[in-house]
Amino acid sequence: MGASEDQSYEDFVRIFMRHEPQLRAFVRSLLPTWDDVDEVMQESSLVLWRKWSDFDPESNFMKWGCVIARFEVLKHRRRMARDRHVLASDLIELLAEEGTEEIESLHAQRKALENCLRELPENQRRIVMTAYAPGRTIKEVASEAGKSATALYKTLNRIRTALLECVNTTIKREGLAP
Amino acid sequence: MTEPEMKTLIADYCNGTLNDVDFAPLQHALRESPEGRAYFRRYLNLDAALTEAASVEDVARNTWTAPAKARAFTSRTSPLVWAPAAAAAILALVGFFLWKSAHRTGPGSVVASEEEVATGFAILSRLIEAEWQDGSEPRSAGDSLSAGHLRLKSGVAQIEFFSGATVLLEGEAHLEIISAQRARCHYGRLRAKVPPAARGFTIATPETEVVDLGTEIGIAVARSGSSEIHVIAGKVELHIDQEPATSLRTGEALLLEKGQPSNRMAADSEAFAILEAFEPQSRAEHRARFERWQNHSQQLRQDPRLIVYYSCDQPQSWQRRLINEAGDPERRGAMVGVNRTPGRWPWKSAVEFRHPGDRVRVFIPGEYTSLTLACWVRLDSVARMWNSLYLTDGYEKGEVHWQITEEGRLAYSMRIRETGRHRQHLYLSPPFWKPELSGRWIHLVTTFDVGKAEVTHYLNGKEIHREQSTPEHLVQTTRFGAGEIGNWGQSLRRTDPEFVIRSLNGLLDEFAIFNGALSDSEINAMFHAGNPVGP
Repeated sequence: MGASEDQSYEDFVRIFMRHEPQLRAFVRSLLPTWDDVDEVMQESSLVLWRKWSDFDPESNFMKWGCVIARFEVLKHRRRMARDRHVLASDLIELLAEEGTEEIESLHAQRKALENCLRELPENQRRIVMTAYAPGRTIKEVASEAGKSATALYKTLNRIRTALLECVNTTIKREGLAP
Repeated sequence: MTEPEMKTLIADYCNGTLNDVDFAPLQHALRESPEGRAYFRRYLNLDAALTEAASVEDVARNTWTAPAKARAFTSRTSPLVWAPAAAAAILALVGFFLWKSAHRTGPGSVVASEEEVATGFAILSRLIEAEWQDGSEPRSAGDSLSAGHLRLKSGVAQIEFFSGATVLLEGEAHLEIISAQRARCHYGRLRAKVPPAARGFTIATPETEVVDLGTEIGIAVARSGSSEIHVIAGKVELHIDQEPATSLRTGEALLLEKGQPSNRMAADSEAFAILEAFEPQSRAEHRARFERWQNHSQQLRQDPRLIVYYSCDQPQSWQRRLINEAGDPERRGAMVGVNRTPGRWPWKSAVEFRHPGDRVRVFIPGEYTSLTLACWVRLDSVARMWNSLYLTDGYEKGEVHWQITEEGRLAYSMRIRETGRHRQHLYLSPPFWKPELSGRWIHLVTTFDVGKAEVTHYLNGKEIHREQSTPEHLVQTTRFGAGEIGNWGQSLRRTDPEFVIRSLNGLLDEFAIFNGALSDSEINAMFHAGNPVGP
């Protein structure tokens, strides 16, 4: 690999990593499971790198990334078992189109979420972090806590709803677009 | 749907706990409501952000026990972890993606030997008592032929070139197919018919090139290389080395020895085979094959492992049910929409699936462990996203779905657990379907072996895919209950049309489910006993 290619590689990795979480969230909104998301993210990162020389550094990386990720999601969808709750392709298109439009505000929501997570009561915060920890299943976490999986899901749903409300209030207070 | 209802369903969807019946209404609501979609995205965005936050925290907690570089390779780990890593590690990461992609062969790779069949210049349309020479590739009627050698030991083979020319080859013979317009006869005897569309069709012999100008000719090539060209009708041109072309007309024949025309004579049409002469023999052979299958089928009925068996061995009738030859008459198949039509042989029937509503309903009680599903089908296409062979109506734990995907992969799946993520696992073969298979009888088998923890797919008696079940994907108890051959009874419960059309497009002749995994040799024997063509 030549020096300029090295440079190009590093540039790509730097910008890709900066946007990876947002891109991952975008893909998450189109697919039913995290395994699907992981697979599509790997594919997308490859395609992005392959097409990296086509990318105009002046333009918006996220928009570009969303277009490619959306395509990869639809490709992945065709390979998937339809027994799982895979959204219809027209709905994926619709969600992706609108999602690409609001990328900036989703970013604001993530910033707000950092504060909201800090403000969360410690016990609730612990539940969320344990339930979401890599490699853990809800069933395991629930049985460790002496709860049923259903009860844990309910608790998680409540915490997420509270977090969303907190995010909305924060954004309004700070005058950011919802 | 009210707003709180929708929010509940979105939360369930996010958890992976959404009920099947709620999925179509949720999709409907999302299509209708822009606010709903915005909430949906915010909710899943939150899910993504929490996953990320938790993995960062997890890595921070485990810094002393697990190096960050290694952990970065596990899925769902935040890239924030990678950021402080050295550039080398970052490059390794990208390399990992590349490696991962290159090694994700999975069910995607096509067997090289099958590739050959996908293209071709001709079809082996008929075989009559044909035997192939030792060491040469055995061919079956219906095979498409690309460039290559046919070495017939005895019998007759009819080859239809895509140009329109037809060659009837008599064993012992060696014919080399070069293109749709060109073949070489190394030795043996053949008769070629060349319609106007295929004018210019050329057969080379060791000593000459015979350009057929729209005729019927006979060619005989001796092992010594000398050849006879007989023009039964029409006109041919012979090219010998650099000499000017020699013409032959109807009724003329020429003997060539050592590269030179040595003798002109009268054409002898009867010296060359005509297909019609073989017809009665061919019919007798067809009947013999049918009887061989019938014997096999009678034996099969005694197999105690059979759960259900529909041989379809009844002549066409108006009866709207498939008899369960495995015994229990309660397990008969109820025909809905489908019609009976002649099957692999004219003396027995098949079930014809044409319309999206066509189905055979089956109720199979009980619990099982290992299974074998087997059927003979003749498909027109696999155009649907999922083309059902057999599907249980519901999808409860241990229930079985057996289908062909749009890409032509054989798919076997089972429900593993009732809730949570990864509720079913799909075992996919490489794509086996090719347009050439359209209209041909094929034998499909899938075995699920609990003891060996593996699923194996077979096409025409040969294994095409074998996959291990990981302990978390392994189901110990399998079930059927209410289900359907050639369609999906789920359509009776759902309203979203995109989900429900899984009907088969083609014929089904013989269907069996066994309690236990059949061996490779049993499956191979089943294929050979039921194969309407070939050796």
